[in-house]
Amino acid sequence: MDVFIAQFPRFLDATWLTIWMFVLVTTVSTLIGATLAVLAEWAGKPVSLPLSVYSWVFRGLPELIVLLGCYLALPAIGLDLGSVGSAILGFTLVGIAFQLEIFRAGLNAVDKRILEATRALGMSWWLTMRRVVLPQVIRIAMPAWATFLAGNVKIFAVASAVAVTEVMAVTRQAIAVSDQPFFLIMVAAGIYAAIASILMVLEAILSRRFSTRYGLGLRR
Amino acid sequence: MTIAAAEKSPILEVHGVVKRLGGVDILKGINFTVAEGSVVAIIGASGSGKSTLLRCLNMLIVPDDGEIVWKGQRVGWVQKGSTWVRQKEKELLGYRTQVGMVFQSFNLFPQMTALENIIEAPMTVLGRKRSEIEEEAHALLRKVRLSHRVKAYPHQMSGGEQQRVAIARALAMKPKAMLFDEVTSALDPELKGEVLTVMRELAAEGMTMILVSHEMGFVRHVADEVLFMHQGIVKERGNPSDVLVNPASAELQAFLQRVTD
Repeated sequence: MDVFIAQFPRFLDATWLTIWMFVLVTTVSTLIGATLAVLAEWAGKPVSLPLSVYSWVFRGLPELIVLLGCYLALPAIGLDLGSVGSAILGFTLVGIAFQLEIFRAGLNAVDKRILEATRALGMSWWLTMRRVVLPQVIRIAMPAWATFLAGNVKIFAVASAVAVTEVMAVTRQAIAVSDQPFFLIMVAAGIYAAIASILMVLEAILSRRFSTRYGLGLRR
Repeated sequence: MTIAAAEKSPILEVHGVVKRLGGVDILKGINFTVAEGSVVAIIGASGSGKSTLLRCLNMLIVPDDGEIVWKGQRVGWVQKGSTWVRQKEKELLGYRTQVGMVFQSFNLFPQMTALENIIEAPMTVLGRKRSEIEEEAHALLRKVRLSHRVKAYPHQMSGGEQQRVAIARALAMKPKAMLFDEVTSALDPELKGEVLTVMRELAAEGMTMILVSHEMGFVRHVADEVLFMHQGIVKERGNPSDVLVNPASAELQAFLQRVTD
C-alpha cells in the first residue's frame, strides 16, 4: 500500500496520459477512417483497392510492430516523433484501418434502392450522403464502433514498449522498486477495467438510444 | 385544355429509345407519347423491359439511343453549336424534380418520420422554408389518409402506409407527371386497395401518370392508354377496353391469361 501511495501521482499521470491518447487517436482515426470509407464508395476501385491493401496490412500487423516501426524506424529516415508521438501515430494508423472497415460495412448495409429514390427526387450525391446515407451509416456502425473502442483501449498498454510512461510502464517501474508485484498488477488491471467499463456503459447507452429511436433490432 | 388540344401537345415524347445492359437488348426502340393529364399504363411479363423503360423516362437509366422529349425539350442532352452534348448527372436533377417517382420497394428514408420524409427534398433541393412546406406536408398526409401517422417511422408503418407516404413525398415536389413502378406488387392484397384508391384520385385530379402495373382491373378503369411490352418492344397499344378485351397477339392473350388466373 505504501508503494501505491508513493506512486499514486505517477499512476494518476499515467492514467491521464492513456485517456487523452486514446481520445485523440479515436477522434482522428474515426474522422479519417469514415472519410476514406465515403471516398472509396464515391471513387470506386481506384481508391477502394489501395485502401483495402492498407487496411489488410494495418489490421494484420501486431500493434507492437507498428509502434516499434514508428519509434525506431522512422527516425532512421529523419522523422523523430518521440515516444508519445510515435505511439499516437502507430495507434492512429491501426485505428484508421479498423474504422475504415467499420464505416465501409455501415455504408454497404444501407439499402442501395434508397439512392434511386433520392436521385428521382433531384437530390445530388453529396446531399444524399449528408442527409440520407450518413445518418443511417452512423446508426448502423455505432454498435461495431463502440465495441471496437471498448476492446481497443487495453491495447494502449503496448505503448509502454516504446517508452511511453502510461499505466503499464509505471506499474513495471513501481514493481522494480518494491516487492509487491501482485498488488501493483492488480492496480494496473483495475485502472484498465475502469476505463473499459466506462466505455462499455457508453456503448450500451448509445446502442439502446439508437435502436429505440430508429427501430433497428428486435424492438418494434 | 380539351382532350384534342392536349393530344396535339404531348408533355412527354419517347422516340426510338434503346437500352442495352450487359450485352442484352432490354429496349429495342420504344415510341410513344403522353398527353398532359392522361394515364398511360405499361404492362408485360417480367423481363419485358417495363421498369427499365420507366427509369429511362426520368434518366435514372440513360438510354443508349433515342430521345426523351419533355415539354418540347430533349432530356439529358444540350445543343452546343451544332453538336449535342450529354448532360451530367448534376444537370439532370432539375428535370427529375418535375417528374415524381414511386417505387415497388417504397424506399422511404428509414431514419426519418413520415413528415420528415415528405419535407426533406422540398427543403434541401428546392430550398423551401420548413414552416411553409410542413403545412403542405400535413395536407398531403391528409390526402393520402395518413394524418394520424405524421410522426411514425417507416418501420412502424404497414406497407400500404409506407407506399402512401412515398406518394406524398413525390407529390411534395409538385411534379408535373408521376411515374409508378409496380407500386402495389410488394403489398398484401388487402393493402393494395388503399394505395390504388389514392392513385385513382390523383388521376381524377388530372395528374399525368405513367405506371407499370399488374393490376389489370385498375389499368382497365383508370388508364387512357395501355402499352403491352414484349421482349423490349411495344407489342400492342391502345385503349384498355379494346386491347385488354380483344388482344390481337398471342403474347398478350397468354399474358392476360396468366395475370388474371
